[in-house]
Amino acid sequence: MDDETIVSMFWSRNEDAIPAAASKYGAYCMTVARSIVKCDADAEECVNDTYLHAWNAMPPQRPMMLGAFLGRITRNLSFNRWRNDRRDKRGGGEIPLILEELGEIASDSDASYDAEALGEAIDAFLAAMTADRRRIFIRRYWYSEPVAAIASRYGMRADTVSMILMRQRRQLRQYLEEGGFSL
Amino acid sequence: VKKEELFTLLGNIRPEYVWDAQAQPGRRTYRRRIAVVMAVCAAAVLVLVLLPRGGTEPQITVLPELIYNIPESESSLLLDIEGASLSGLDADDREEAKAVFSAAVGVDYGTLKDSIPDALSVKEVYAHLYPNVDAPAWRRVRDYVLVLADADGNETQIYLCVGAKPMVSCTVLHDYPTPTAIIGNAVYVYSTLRGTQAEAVLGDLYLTVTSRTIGEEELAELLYALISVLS
Repeated sequence: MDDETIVSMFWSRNEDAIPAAASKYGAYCMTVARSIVKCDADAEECVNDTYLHAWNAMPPQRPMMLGAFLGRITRNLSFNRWRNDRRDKRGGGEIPLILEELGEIASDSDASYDAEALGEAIDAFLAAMTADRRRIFIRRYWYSEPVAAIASRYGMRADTVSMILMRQRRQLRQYLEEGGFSL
Repeated sequence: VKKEELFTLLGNIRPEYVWDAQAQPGRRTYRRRIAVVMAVCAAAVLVLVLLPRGGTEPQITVLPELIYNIPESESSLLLDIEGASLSGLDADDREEAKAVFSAAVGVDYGTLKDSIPDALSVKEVYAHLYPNVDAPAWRRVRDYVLVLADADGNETQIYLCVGAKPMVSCTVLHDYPTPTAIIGNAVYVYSTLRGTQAEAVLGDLYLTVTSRTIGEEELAELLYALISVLS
């Protein structure tokens, strides 16, 4: 079933939309969730919550790419779950490492910022990259994939991927600072 | 910005980028690997068949100019090295880069080590090593120096692999200034940062390049294979 049909089902409040979305993107969402939360049970819960959130979001939203749309919801839910688990001392996995890396860009200041403008700047930064480089960045910081897995995926050495990511972080920080963002 | 907020913000990356990155690299990579294996095998056969024996030195025909395609994934990786500064590297990488440069010109590493300030850029290091070369030419220097040499000394030349992705042009720049510095009839492909690895893999590669045995296409394949090894 194509995305447009599934989205139309959401819009017409047809409950078959959920199994249709689950059938097409359930495995993908599970992959997204698993890379963030600790166990499969939590991941499944996040994915199930994803459909509920999607149900509430459509309408009014009409995503052009349903997979990415659902994946983003899953990612957000999973990250929230991870944060809660961390409070309970149950957090783990790849996220602490990723946050540590992102700490090279963000300074943990409490200064206010325009989230929308910052998001646009990040998009612009990514747009300037080659597709291959962008994929590596996104595999790491969107999909929370371990460096070794990224290296394996793209047939590269892990230290090469690490070097690329390090440069990207440095470049992103510089790019944002030049764009007037106080990080 | 707090790092957790940044992580959340990164979740809002444009969906087409996110979806593009979820696809498994498919047949292209697989085909590329096959091509690399085949090219390396072909190079190995050339080595075995054409390895100079009994002091007979092979002849080479230096192609005046060669244009070949490098898949974007490799070239982007390689070209990223452009402009890299030795001062931007950590101590180990800096020493490694120096070792590569010294190997490239057959200069004693210890001497070279002391003579190259850490703050020099890659371009400046090349210029340091080849002071007689016109400055504009060096501005074209990217990642690779390909040295094609024969023992006669009269066809010993350097190819500089330059250009912008996805096209890279390999051009004869000038006669190699110190032919004696080249060990045998080797093909060296050096990356500024990955040269040590290349040397380990290819250091003993002796190759005869003649117009009969290898043409532009084969040479391109060979370069492709070497670069793939580097990357």
